Amino acid sequence: MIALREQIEKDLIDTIEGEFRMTVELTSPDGEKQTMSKNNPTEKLYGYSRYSSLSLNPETGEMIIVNKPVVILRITSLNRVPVSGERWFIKFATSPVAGSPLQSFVFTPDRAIEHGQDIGFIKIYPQRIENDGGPEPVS
Amino acid sequence: MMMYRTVKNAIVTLLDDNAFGHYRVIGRQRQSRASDEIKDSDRTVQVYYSDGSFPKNAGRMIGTKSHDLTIDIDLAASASAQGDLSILDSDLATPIQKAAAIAAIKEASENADEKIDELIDYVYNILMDARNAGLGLDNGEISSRWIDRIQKDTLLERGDLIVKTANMKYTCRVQETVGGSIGFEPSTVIFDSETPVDGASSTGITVENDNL
Repeated sequence: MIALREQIEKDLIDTIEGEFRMTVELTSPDGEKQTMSKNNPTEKLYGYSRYSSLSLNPETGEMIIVNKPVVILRITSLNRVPVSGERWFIKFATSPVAGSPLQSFVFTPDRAIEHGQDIGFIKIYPQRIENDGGPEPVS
Repeated sequence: MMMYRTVKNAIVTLLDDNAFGHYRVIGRQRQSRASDEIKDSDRTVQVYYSDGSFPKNAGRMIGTKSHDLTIDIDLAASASAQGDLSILDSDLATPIQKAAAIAAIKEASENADEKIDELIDYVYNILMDARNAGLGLDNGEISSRWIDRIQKDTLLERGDLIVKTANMKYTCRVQETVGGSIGFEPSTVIFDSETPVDGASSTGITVENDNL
């Protein structure tokens, strides 16, 4: 009989890195960029991302609709797991259409209300970043 | 039209005329807005009548009625983080350069807070400018204008943009004239002061109603 954690890992491969996978690029606070999976260095780093989830703001009474991007990554695929207080740079496509360009975001794991590190996966709530430096390189 | 509507329209016009691209004025309450929409136009200002009281000792049973009114002014700004993408996105930059760029990122919450503070500054100064005391209306139409309170709300933490809102309460006193029920226009009264030639009327004046 397969151990529960092994079963979870298999499920995560299907749900996060399976048919709905999307390419993700992570840059750690040390400046180290990860584009390939730690589990399989010949494969890109994949995750599950959702962008067009809309909700109203219940905090202020102000009716404001906000896009809420969420990225889910398998922990064993990461070279380094983001922890509280760290600021990371992440790129992923905000559209599931093939060939969509990767967009730039930043995140800090404990900044989100639902900061999530569950069994075997980490949930990231990135925020958009704008350029205030030189010209952006063409990707 | 009651005066509070005139005052609201005057504030919308005044803020709009003085926006100079710093913000956009919406003359109504609580329309759903996307954070992207706020971001593209930088900041938005919503103006709407929210409260009014009619002090009995300051009013009259007939004639105009004193109206102490409150106009709510909702301010909203949204912001993203800011960083040097020429380094962060570059394949040529070293890890040390990227680490420095990540450390230097200005957080979205800081940007949003600065933006809403600027917006409060703009709107307060326009409304409280002595030249705008009358909101461009005729002399004496409004009195005791004041901004009673400014309230900044909490940040909206989730989402790809940070949204910060604030509220301002503008109060003043106006005189309302009661015009009667809408849709029931009273009959027009005509005073005919021509002296009758037949001499039958002792006053020399007849009154007739042309709507009857």
